[in-house]
Amino acid sequence: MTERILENLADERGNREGDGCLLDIVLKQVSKRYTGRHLDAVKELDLEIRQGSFVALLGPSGCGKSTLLNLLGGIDRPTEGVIEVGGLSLQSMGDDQLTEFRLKKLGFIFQFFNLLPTFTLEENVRLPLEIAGHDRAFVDSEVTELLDKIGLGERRGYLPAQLSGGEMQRTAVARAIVHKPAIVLADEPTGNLDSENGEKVLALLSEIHAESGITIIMATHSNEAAACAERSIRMRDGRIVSDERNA
Amino acid sequence: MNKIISVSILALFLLVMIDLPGAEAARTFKKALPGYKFSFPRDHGSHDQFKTEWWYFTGHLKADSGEDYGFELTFFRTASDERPSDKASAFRLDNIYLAHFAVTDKARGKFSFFEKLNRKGLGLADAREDFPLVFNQSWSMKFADPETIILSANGGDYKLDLVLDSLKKPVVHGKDGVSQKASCKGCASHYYSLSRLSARGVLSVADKPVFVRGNAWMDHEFGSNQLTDNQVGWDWFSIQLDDNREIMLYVMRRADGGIDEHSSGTVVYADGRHRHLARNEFIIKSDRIWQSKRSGGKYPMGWNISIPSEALSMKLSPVMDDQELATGKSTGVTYWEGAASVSAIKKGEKQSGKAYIEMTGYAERFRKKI
Amino acid sequence: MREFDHFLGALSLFRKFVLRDCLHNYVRTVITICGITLGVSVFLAIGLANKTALSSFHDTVDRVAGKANLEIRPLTGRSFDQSILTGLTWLEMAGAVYTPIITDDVVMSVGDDKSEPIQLLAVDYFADDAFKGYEVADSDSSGESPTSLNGVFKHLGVLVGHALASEHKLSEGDKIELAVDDRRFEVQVSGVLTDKGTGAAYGGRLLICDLSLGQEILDLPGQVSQVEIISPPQKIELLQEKLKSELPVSVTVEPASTRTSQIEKMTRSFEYNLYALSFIALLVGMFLIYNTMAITVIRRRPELGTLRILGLSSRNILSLILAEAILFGAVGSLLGLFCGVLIADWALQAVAMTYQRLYFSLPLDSVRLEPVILLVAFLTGVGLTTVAAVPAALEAAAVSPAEATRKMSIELNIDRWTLPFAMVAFVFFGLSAYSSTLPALANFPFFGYFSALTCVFGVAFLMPALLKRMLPVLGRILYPLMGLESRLAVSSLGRTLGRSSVAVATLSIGIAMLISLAIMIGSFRETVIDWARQTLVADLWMRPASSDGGSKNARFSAHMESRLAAVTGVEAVEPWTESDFEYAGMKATLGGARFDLVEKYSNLNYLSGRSNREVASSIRGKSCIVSESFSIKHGVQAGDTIEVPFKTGLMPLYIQDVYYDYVNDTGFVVVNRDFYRKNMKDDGINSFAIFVKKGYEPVSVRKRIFSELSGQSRFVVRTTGELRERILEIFDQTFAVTYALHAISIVVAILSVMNALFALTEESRREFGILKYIGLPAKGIKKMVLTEAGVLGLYGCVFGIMLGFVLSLLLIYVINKQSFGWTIRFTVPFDFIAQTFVIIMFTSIASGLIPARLASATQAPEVVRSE
Repeated sequence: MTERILENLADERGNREGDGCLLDIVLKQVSKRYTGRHLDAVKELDLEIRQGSFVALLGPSGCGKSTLLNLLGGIDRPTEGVIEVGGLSLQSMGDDQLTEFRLKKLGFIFQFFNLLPTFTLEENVRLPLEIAGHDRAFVDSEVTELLDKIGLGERRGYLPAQLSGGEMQRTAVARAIVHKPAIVLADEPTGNLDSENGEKVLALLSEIHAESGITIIMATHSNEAAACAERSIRMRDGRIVSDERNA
Repeated sequence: MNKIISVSILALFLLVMIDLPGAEAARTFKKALPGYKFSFPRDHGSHDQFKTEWWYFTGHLKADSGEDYGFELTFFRTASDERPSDKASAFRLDNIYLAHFAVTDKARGKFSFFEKLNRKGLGLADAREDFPLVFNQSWSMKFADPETIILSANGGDYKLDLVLDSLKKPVVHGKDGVSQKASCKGCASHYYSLSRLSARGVLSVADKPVFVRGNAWMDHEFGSNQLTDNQVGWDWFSIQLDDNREIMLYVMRRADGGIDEHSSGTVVYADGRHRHLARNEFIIKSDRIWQSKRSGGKYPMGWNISIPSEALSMKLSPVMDDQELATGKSTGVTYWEGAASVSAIKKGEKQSGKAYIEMTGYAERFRKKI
Repeated sequence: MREFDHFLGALSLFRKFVLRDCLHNYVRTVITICGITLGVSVFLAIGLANKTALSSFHDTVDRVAGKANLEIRPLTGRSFDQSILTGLTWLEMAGAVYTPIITDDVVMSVGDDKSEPIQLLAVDYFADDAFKGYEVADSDSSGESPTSLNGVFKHLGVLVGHALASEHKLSEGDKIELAVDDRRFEVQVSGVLTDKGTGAAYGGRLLICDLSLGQEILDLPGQVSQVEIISPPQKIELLQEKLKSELPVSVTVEPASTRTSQIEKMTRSFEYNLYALSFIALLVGMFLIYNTMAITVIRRRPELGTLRILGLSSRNILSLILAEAILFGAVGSLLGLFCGVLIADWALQAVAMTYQRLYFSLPLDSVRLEPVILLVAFLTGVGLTTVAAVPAALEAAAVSPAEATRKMSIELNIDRWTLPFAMVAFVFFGLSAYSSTLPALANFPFFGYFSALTCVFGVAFLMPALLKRMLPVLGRILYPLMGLESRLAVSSLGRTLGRSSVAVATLSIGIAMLISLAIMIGSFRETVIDWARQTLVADLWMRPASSDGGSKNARFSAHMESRLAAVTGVEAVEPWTESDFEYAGMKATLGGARFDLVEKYSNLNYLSGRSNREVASSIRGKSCIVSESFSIKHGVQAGDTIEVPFKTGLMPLYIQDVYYDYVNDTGFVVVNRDFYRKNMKDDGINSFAIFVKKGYEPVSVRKRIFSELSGQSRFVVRTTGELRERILEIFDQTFAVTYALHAISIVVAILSVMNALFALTEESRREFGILKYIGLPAKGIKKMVLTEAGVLGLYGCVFGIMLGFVLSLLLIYVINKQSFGWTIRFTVPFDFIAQTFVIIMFTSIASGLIPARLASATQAPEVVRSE
C-alpha cells in the first residue's frame, strides 16, 4: 500500500511536490474572516500535522473546525497566515493547481454525504479516478477491489436515493480514498448517522488509516468519534484550546 | 319514294345551311390544271392561290483563285389548310416561308447547309405576288429587270451575293402549261425553268471575299397537290452541257420500286427551243449506293443517262458523296441535292458539262410535313 | 490513447451528470425542448415559404427567358406596339437572334363554377432553336418534328403545361374554356409539354400557343408583351446601348435577371417582416432556455461544488453546462426542422395569397426544401440556445468548491445585481427611444425593429428591480384578502428573485407580443374599415369575371361605359383603369379615373385635409394625385413633379395631393381618364363604380344590369356591403400568418411559467417541509403555490400589457409606416386585452396545479431530518 502511495505522489506531468513524498501540513498564524462578518472564524492558528496522522478536530458548532478543514483543503483562502502542504504554500497555487491538488492529493468526506444523485454508488466512487484520466481497466479493477473490501460490492448499481445513510457515507469514504490521496478531510462524517452506522464508518476510517499512511483529519463534535483518532485538537471560537494524544 | 326524296333534300338542305359549331371551313386552293397561260415577268412572282410554291436556284461557281463551288438556294412558300381567323394579326399563319441554302466546297471537301423558317409578319419574310421578289430575313431573290436576278444568302462561314443573267427564255415544262405528276386531276404543278443563267458575284468564305463566276439554273414551281400515296419520292436532274444544251429530267419513284409513267423531262436547245421528253425517251442507271451516316438513307451515286432521241449518253459523277440536307427545322424533309460533273460514258467520245441532282424519299418516305 | 480515453471519459461524465438529470426531470426537459422546437419550426417554415415564393418566381423568369440574355419590356402598361419588331431586323447582322412573346394570365374553367388562374404564353413557333425552351411529349411515334407544325396550323391549338395536363387529365384533342376579360374563349389542346424548360414555368400551369392566337385570345391586336434577345456575350452591352437609344421611352432593355432583383426589392419588406415575426418565436424560446439553465444551475449548485472539490476544473464545468444547452438546442432544433417542414406548406399557403395579390401571380403549391435553409434554421436554433445558456454556464463555472458544503442552497445574490441591471435597463430604454426616431434604411425599418428589441431587453433587465419593489406592495394588499399563504407566497417569490423575475419577464414578453400584434392588427383593421366606409361610397361595383378568377389585367372594352350608364336606375358610372409601370426601379401602379365624377360623387381623403371636391376638380391634364404609400416610398409630396412613363413618352406630372389608400404597398399615381386614354393608348376599363339613382335599390339595379348586359359580357357586380366584406376577407387572409405566430409565442410564454413553477416547487421543498412541520396544512401549501402562480401570471400580464402598448406604437408608427407606408389609426381592442388577461391568469394558475400538489405532498419529517 505504501508503495502505491509513493508511486502516486509523483505527478503525472513530472512535477514534484516538496521534497520527498510526504505531505506534512504546517499552518502559520492562519486567520480567516468571512466577508460581511465581524468575527474571525479562525484566529491566528499555528498547527503542524505530520503525514500519516489521524487527527480529530473537536469542538461545538461554530468553533471553526469546518472552516479549518476548508482551509486545509484549499477550498477557502486564509485572510492571514500561511498554509503549507508538503512544503508548498497553498496560497501560491492558482485555481488550476489547487484543483489538481484536490484531484490527486485530497479526499473529502461530508456530513451530508454529497453523493451525486444521478450517479450510481459505483459511479460515484469511480469519479476521482475518471476525472484524473485513468483508463477504464485500471479504474474497474481499483474500484471493484475497494468496494468488495468495504462490503458495498452488492449495492454498486444503486442510486444514492436507494441507499441507507450508512451505505451512503461508506460510499463517500470509498470515493474519498479510491485515488489513494495523501490526505483525507472528513467533516462530521458521523453527524448524520445513527450510532450503529456511525461506528461502522469510524471503524472503516481507522482501518484505512492503519493500512495506508493516509493523513486523516476529522472534524467532529462527538467525543466518542474523536476517540478513534490518534490526536484530538480541541477548538473554541476559532482558536485551539488543547492538543492531546489519544490513548 | 316522294317521302324519301323530300327527306333527303331536307337533310341536304339542313346540312348545307347549318354551320356546325366550332368547326372552321378549310381553305380551298387552286389546282394546277391544263390550259394555264404563263406570262413573264408576272409569273416570276408568288401565286398565293396555290398551296405550295418554290423558287429554286442551283449553280456551279469558280473563284478567281481557282476553287470550285456548288450552291443551292431555295425559297419555299406554303399555305395553311385552315382558314385564318377574321382578326388579321401581323402574326397570322396564312403563309409560312422557308428557305434552304447549301454550299458544296470542293476545295475543302465540305458540304454545308442552312435553313430558315419564318412567318410573313414584321418584315421577316415575304414572297410578293405583284413583284418578283422573295426574301427570308437576310436571304433574298429579286429581279433587277425581267432577265436579271440578284441573289443573296449567308450561313456559317459563307456569304454569297450573285447577279444572274438569263441567257435563254423561260422554258415551261410538261404539256399544255401543266407538269403532271400523277394521274389524278390536279396532281400536278405549273413548272418552268430558266435553264441557263450566267452567274457572277462575290463569295465570302470566313470573311475572305473572292470573285466568282459560273452558271446557274432556276426552277419555279407552284401547285396544290403533288404526290399520291403510292409515290415515295423523286429524282430530279438538271444538266447544262458545254454545247449550250440543257436537259431537265424527273423520275417519280413508286412504292413498289418502279418508276411512275408520269415521269418526264425537257430538252432545251442552243437556240432556246425546247421539247418535252416522255418517260420512254430516257434511261437512267446508277453505279453504286452511298449510305448516309446521318439519316441512314441509301442513295444511288453516279449515273449513266442516255437519251437516244437526242443522241445523248452521259456519265454524271457527284462532286462529293455527302451532299445531303437534313432540314428538320423547316421542311422536316431529308433530301440529297448535289453538284455533279458530266462526262462521256465511252472513252473517246466528247461530252462535258455540269449538273445538279436532287433525290428525295431515300431517307424516309417523302411526306410533306407542312 | 489518453486523448481518446479523455474524450470517452468526458462523454461518460456528460451522460451521467447531464443526461440522466434531464431524463429524471423529464417534464422540464420536454418543456424546454418544446420551446426550442416551436421557435425553430416557425422560423424554418417562414424561411422555406419565403424562399419558395421567390425562387419560384426566379425559376419562371429563367425558364421563360431561357438562353436570352436581353429582354425588351414595357416600362408602362402590359404590352407595347409590335411595330418595334420591324426596327430590330438589324440584330441579325450583329449576330443576335430575337423573338417576341405575348403573355398574360387568364382564367381556365375547371368545370362546375370552379376556375383557376393560369398563364398564357404566346411564342413564335418558328423561333430560332435557341429560344425553343419547351419540349412536347411525343403522343405518337411517327417521328414528327417536335414543333408539330400541324398543331400550329390547327389555328386554335395550344400546348398544355405538364402539371396542368396531369391535374385535369388533358390530352390532345381536348377542349379548354378560358375566361379572358369579360369574354369566353375556347381552345383545343394540340399537345402536352414535358417539364423541360419553359414547360415547367409557372409551376407547369401554363398554355403555350402561337403568337397570332395569343393576340386574339388576349385581345391585344398589334401588341407584344416582351421581346427576348440572345446576343453574343461580348456584344451585350453594345447592343443594349444601341437598342436603348433607338427604342421609345416606354420600353426598357435589360437582362431578364433585373426582373428578379426588382421583385426581390419589392417583396423585401413583406419578407423581412415575416422573418421578424418568426424571430419572435425564437426569442421567446431563448428566454425559456435561459430560464431553464439558470434554474438547473441553481438547483445543482451543491453537486457542482462537489465536482469542483473532486477535482473538476471550472472549464470542465463550463463545458458540461454548455454541452447540456447544445444538447437541448440540437434535439429541439432537429425536432423543429421536422415540424417546420410539416407546417411549411401551410405557411406557404398563408403567405402565397399575399405574394400573389401584391407582387406576382404565380402558382405556389408546395414548399421546396432547400438544404441551406434547413441548415441555417438548425444552426440558428443551436446557436441561440447556446447563447441563451451562456450566463448560466458562466455562473456554473463560477461555483466555488465551498458551495459543496453549504447546508442550504443559496440563491444567487440577486440583490447585488438588481441595481446594475436596472441601470442597464435604462440604457436599453434610451437606445430604444432614440432608434425609434431614425428613418428607414434601404426602405426597411431596421431601427424600428432594433428599437423594439432593445425595449424588450430593457424590460427584462428591469424586472428584478420592478418585482423587488412591487412584490411587497402586492403582499400587503393580498394579506387581508387571502391570508397567511398569500404573504408567504409573495415573500417566497421575493427571495427567489432571480428565478421569478426571469419567469415574469418571459411571460411579459410573450404577452407583449400578443398584445402589440393584436393592437396593430386591430388598429389596421379598424382603419381599413373606416377607410372603406368613407371612400367606397358607390352603390355597386362591377368587374370582369376573370378578375375574380385571379386574372390581374382583365378589362372591359370602352363601350361598356355608355351601355352601363344607359341601364335604368343608374345615376352615374365611374370607370377605373390601371396598369403597372416602373418608377425609380420599383413597381408602381398608374390609374386613370374620371375626376369630374370623382368630384361629384366620391369621397377620397387627403393628407392635406382638403375636401375631395377641391382636389378632384384640379386633376386635369398633367396633374395627378398619389397614394400615401407612393409618397412615402419615393419621398415625394404635394407640390412635387414626378416623371412618369406613358406609352407616348415620359410625362412630368404635378402632384396635387396625397390620398389615403390601403390596396397595395407599391403605390398609385392617378391621372384623369382622358389623359390616361390618350397617353396610354388604352381604352379598356378595369372596373366600374356605379351610383344608383335616388329611389332605386342597388340590388334591383344589379338585377337589371345582369339582365341587360350579361348576354355579351361576363362580369361580377357586388354591393358595397359585399365589397367591404371581401376586403376584410383579404385582409384577414393576409394576416393569417401573424395570428398564428402570436398564438405560438403565447404557448412558449406559458411554458416558461410552468417551468418556473416546477423549479420553484422543487427548490422550496425544504420550506414546505418546515411549514408543514410548523403546522401549515397541505391545503395551505397548495394555496400558497397557486398564489405564487397567480402572482407570476398577474405581473406577467400587467407588464406584458404595458410593454405591448409600447411595442404596438412602434409597430404602427415606425415599422409599418416605414415598410408599407400606411397610416394606421391607433385603436385599442379592449375586449381582446381583457380576454387575454383572463385567459393568462387562468392558465397560470392552472399550470400551478401539479406543482402545488407535489409541494403539498412533501413529507415533513424527511425534510427536517436531513437538517
